Amino acid sequence: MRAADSENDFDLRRLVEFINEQKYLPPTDLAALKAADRTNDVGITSLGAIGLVVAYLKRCGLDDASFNPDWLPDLEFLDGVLRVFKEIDRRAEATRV
Amino acid sequence: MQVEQRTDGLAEHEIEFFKENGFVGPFTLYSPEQAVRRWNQAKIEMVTSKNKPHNSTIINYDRHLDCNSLSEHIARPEIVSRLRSLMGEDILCWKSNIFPKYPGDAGTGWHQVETFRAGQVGDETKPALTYTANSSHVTSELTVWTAFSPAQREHGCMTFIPGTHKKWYYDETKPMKNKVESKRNDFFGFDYSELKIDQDWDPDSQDCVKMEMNAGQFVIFLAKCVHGSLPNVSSQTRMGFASRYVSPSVKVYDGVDHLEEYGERLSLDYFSCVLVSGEDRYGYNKICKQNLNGYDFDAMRQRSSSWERVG
Repeated sequence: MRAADSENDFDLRRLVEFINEQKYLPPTDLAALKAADRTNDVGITSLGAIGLVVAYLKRCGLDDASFNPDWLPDLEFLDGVLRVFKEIDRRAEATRV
Repeated sequence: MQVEQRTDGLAEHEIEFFKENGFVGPFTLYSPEQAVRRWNQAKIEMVTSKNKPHNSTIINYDRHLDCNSLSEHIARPEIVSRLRSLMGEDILCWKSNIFPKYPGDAGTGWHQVETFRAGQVGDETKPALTYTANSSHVTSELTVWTAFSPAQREHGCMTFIPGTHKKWYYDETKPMKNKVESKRNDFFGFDYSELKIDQDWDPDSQDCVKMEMNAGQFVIFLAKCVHGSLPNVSSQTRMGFASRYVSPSVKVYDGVDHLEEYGERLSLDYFSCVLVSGEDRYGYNKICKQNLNGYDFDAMRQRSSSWERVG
């Protein structure tokens, strides 16, 4: 399912920036992410997607032990990565309250 | 799903089948659901491991040395008991490889090895394995290939040419050419057909076995049995994990301190073998008692040796 333009452009821009900060991932841009469906479409392997989420957990101040194995099927798709990032955002917010 | 839990080794007819054909299986180790969960856990560990054996993302060898789920897998009693039937009591795990085959990927060309040459293509290669004694058992070397996803024909299952372990069809000491043109002979980007001893011998004309497996099943084979794999024409990635075993009488990476493959150079400073059964009566190889993150191989081996047949 492709990311809806109206809601996710901001999220996709953030995702582009974050992906491009990870030196082990191929660089990408907004156009590529908007055209893509799966993470593999933009050159991110399954291990690369896990690494991306682990990096985001650390960015949000959470331990990589917080990685939920149930996230793995989501990480095949860019929409899924965005959902997982939002869940991480909520968890991080909960720890700050 | 009821999963077979045999830990008493191969049956006599299975041993005879192996002697004749060079491979035996498949055997069921995990249910398909268990296999998917275990591989997911392994992937998470590969990324989050605090003590990775190396930083290569291309040569992702030997992750059994740091990922607990893979450390446990290579020493599973259901695997080791069967290896004992062919190799005797004393067994080392010396290597593991991850073999993903993505949708659209080509098959792997036929190949046949015994010493697993190390080193850069075009340069003089050295054997990764040096055999110092004739085994009093069936063999001193085996590979176990476990499917962690469906590995049917359409996914790119393994293929074997039965009986080819009895004769050399390829000279593994010859260097291989890079950037293969023919996808029929694609061996990870190299042309293995160049190593044929008789260039007129056509492996594709031989009877072959297509080793279709469900996720969670494994096959045991001699690397000297000519083998390959079909292309993945499905929409699902096929995930295979190979764990490789030798007798302690075999010297591993003797005189080899690094690997150079696929444009990367990998130091073997991290390297050690895992004693999965019996004893090391030779002292040729460095043996680790724990994996790089503290998983206790000794305790696992002791648990395995006390398992009996279940069910």
